[in-house]
Amino acid sequence: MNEQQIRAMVVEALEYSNVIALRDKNLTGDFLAGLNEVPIDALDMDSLAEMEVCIAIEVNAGVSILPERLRKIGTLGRLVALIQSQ
Amino acid sequence: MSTLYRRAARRCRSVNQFNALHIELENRMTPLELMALRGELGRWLRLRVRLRRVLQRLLPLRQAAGVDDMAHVLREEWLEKLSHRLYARTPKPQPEPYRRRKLSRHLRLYSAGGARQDKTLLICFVGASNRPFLPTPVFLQHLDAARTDMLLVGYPRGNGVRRGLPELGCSFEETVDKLRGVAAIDSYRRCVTLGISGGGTPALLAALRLGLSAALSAGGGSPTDPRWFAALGEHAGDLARRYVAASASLPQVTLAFGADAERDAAAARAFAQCLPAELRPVHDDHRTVQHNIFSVLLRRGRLQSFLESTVLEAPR
Repeated sequence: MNEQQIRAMVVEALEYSNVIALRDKNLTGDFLAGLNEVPIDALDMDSLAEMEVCIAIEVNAGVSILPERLRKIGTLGRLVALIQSQ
Repeated sequence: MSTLYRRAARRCRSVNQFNALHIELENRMTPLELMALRGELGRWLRLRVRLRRVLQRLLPLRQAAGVDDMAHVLREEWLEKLSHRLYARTPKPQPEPYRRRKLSRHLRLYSAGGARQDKTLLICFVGASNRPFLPTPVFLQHLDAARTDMLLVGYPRGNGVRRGLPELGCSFEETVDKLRGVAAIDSYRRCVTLGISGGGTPALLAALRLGLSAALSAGGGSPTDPRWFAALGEHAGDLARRYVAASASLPQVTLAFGADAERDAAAARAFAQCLPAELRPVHDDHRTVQHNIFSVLLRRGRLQSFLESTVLEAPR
């Protein structure tokens, strides 16, 4: 998966998990284009959403990230880099 | 249940796979199933621990597999946490005796049996998380199985019920009309709807269309949500207005939202322009209240009384 594909996959994982903050704040386009750094805290995820995002990432990219680690990654850009490095 | 769990758990190889399994179960189980699973797995796990000790004595080099240990820890944590939530904020010593019955692909009826003419049917339209904000057994524990049945309306993720449920109809209205027969609505003493998050709009519309007694929308969506416009050809709010104009008697409608959830508050205020409704902000003195109002009410021990005052025992 290249970076563009990973970004699209992350957006899909967030939508699947009903995390709509990215869409709500009109940040999806900028994130897909790699123009904006989005803090994970700004996504307003509860613990269920964090689990579901991690499940979706593992299913779609085969990369296992634990929910408790997700917030510590800090930003969606760093999440993309982490997935790409695996 | 425990046999099914063990079979599914055997295929799990990561924490995320276990989490996915546990979320699926939390969305479906009854309080009885949860307690049974806890009891049976407890016995099974104790047996496994004893067996492992014997094996380790016989084969000192044998080490527990990593996945096995992880599975053990995750299962224990999950069951303990869920069981704690089941009992922590409700003064009931026993699990509510609901049984789960699949009426169709997306409809599950939770009932303890008994004469329907003495009971209330709560039709629950869930949001994208496919649960009533809380794990289903925890939510059911806050109902009275002797007086209330719950019909849980699910749907394929991402689709909602805006275009109907495939097994009931190809439009929202056709699906809602079929619910009357499938759920035997008329055989109940009264019938009410509950909508969670994205399920709020269908809960309000269904209560108006079917002429039900009451409706509660918890953190529901906006009456001008473009997805509803795309499905119906008109805004959900306009459809609600049409139903109100055509109704002889209206349900008691409550629009509840977290006091700090600005988006939900705005949606509730907008819906209140379309139909007679009571706005019910949920406050908490100790923390902010966002989208998931039921978890706050659960923590404060107010969930059951909230449900009773808004839909379950509302007049009419």
